[in-house]
Amino acid sequence: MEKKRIIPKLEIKNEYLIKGIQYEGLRVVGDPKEFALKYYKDGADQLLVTDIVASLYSRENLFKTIENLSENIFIPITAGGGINKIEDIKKLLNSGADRVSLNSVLFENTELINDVLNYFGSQFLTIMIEAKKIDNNFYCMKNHGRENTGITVNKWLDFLLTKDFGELAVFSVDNDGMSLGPDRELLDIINSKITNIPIIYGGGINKLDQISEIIKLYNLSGVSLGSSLHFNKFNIEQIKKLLKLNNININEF
Amino acid sequence: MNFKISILNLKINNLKSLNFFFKQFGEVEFIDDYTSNISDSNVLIIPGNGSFKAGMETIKKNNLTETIFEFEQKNKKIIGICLGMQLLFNESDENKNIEGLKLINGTVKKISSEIYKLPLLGWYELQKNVNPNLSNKTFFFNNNYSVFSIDKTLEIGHINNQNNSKICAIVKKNNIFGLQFHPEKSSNNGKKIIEIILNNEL
Repeated sequence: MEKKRIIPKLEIKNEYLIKGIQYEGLRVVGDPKEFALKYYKDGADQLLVTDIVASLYSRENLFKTIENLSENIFIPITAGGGINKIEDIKKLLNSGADRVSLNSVLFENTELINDVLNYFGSQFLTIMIEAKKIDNNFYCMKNHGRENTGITVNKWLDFLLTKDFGELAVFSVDNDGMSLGPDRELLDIINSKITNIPIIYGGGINKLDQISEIIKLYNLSGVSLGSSLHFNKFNIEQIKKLLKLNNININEF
Repeated sequence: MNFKISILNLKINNLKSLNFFFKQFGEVEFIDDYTSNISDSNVLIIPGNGSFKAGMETIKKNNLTETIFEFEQKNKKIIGICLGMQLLFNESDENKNIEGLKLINGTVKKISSEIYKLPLLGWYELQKNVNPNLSNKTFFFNNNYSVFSIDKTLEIGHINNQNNSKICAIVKKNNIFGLQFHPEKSSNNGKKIIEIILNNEL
């Protein structure tokens, strides 16, 4: 049986861990290394580190951040944000990342998916979707939720299904940092389209019982959490305890 | 522990993670090509990320086959991790017509499963093992392909697939070990299995 994963999401700006609301109004939370180590010790199954400023300067910074925080952490680290070529990915790997997540660049250069798959293999790539509801349709956003690609989630999923990639990580921009609970409408869409690729969901989760509920209901492979962990609404131990009670197969180290 | 550990630099690997991880067991040195000094090394790590083709091309281009065979001939330990495990075999469906290292007789095939989403990505439990310290422990997997040895007795650890079929997780032939999961990413259990191998307990 697959073990369901709890994946803290660390959003990085400059050298800081930050958190926003609906991807805006960012505030500094602390030192990413400290938080990463705490989550590792608490029993996180994986970390997702995203640099939210997609610029050359920021990319150099992401390499340094990953190098810094991966030192004593022996669980997988997925890194993303501002990646736009194979060279960036190689550098991230050399910094201590294990996988990469791609979003914005794919809307300008769909070929990059093929390049990454050919070079690194399909298990290596996480495709990230930042979804926002506009006029009754979910659209894919880019540049950390700032810009609408004009492509609906439905249409993008149709395209992605023609590709062979390792994992889909779906985030709700509307519910991000809002404590609104998970975006079930978005999850319905994802669930109706994608059946055979691991799916991670994040955005809006603010109560413990929502986690087991959406894992079961939408057959998720994992859940990604930001605010609720950073601000100590609950911790990973509590999450896993409850998942176990609900007969969800989890990893106990 | 105070082992001397050589890690092949296949250019497309998480070298920092490997370095941090293996430093727990002794001294780590990366091997870029066959000129690297390996005489006092105890164990060779063939790490794994990337495609079968990319892995074999890097090995051949840098004459690393010589390094690998030197470890084998001297009966020193070799540990292949993920792709590194697959490279030990004859060939892979991932890239046909590319010859593997042929240290273990068998092939690499795409996993087919009715019970798992693929790629196999995440934490899975070992079902049975020669070492009781490892059974029912979870490890981090990230692979689409899996090994099929001709000699099934070499496959000493696995995870369950449908209808009692198995996906090989650990293979052992003399001092050659293959781990389909990533010990360097498997938290405490990853550390444990490397300790067990280095202490000749597997």
